[in-house]
Amino acid sequence: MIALNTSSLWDLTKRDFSERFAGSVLGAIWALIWPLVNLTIYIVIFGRFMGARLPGTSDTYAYGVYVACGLLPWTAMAGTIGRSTSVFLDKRHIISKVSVSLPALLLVINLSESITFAISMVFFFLFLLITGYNLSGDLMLLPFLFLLQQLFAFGFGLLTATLTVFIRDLREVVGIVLQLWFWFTPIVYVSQILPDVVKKIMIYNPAYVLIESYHSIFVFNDAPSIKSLIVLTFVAHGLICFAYFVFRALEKDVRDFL
Amino acid sequence: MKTLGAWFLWTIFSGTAAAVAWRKIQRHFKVYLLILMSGIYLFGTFVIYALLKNIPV
Repeated sequence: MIALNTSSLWDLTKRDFSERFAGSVLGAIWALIWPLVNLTIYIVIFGRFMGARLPGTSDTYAYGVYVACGLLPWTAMAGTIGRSTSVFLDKRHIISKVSVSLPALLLVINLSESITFAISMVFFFLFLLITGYNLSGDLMLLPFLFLLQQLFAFGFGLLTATLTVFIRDLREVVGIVLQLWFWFTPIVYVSQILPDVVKKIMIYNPAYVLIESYHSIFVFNDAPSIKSLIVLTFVAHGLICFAYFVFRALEKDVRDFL
Repeated sequence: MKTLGAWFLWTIFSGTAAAVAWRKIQRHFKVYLLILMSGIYLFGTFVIYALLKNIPV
């Protein structure tokens, strides 16, 4: 069985990353072009040309930074969950031929999305440095925030990937849930515009806790709510435990079904 | 720097504890151990940050 060893994981991740741009002339350069285009849209188009402003600030780029620092992690998390959900079905030609560790396939997706996130973040930081944006010391929490986010996505993805083998409709359901989840999370709008009832519910939204933490660090130069992050740490690890338990219970059936 | 130093020590400590537990534990429970250690590590990281930065938890 291809176990969870570092070199095979890295090889599979590299293959997953290059497969996305297979056959194109520019190849992996597209991995640099995409984040650059996205950041230009978020920061320059929204902030500069459309003149969108964050309430209480006159900074030209503040809204663009607000959107970018919410959308980049969201894209990584939603991409991980979305692709993980159908990974067993998508890779059934490998699973049926080689005795591969199934959770390793999810780790590969997780790592691949993390590389894309890292590339985007490099451009984002370059932009912030060029424009002389004020960065806070709380920035050192960023790797841990991202780790927590991807752990949550891994647990969620493992659960949906296992269940999707038996209930194929779940793939579409997850797509719709992610779409609704995106609009239910203050990424392109500020949470202050929400009605009080929704604000009360919002604290139970894991994506809200994560995205607000990114906003605190990048936009508001403030420490994120550590209490919320600790609660989310428990939730994320509880979810992984539950997902792994379900996966172990159904693993044999998953392989038979595929 | 103080926070980074504390995080570094915490990483060394939790990494060593995980490595020792990894050798002792039965194969079947290794994944659960990994999940548990990851949870403890992140929990500790956030608590250290809150303590050193005087952030109320």
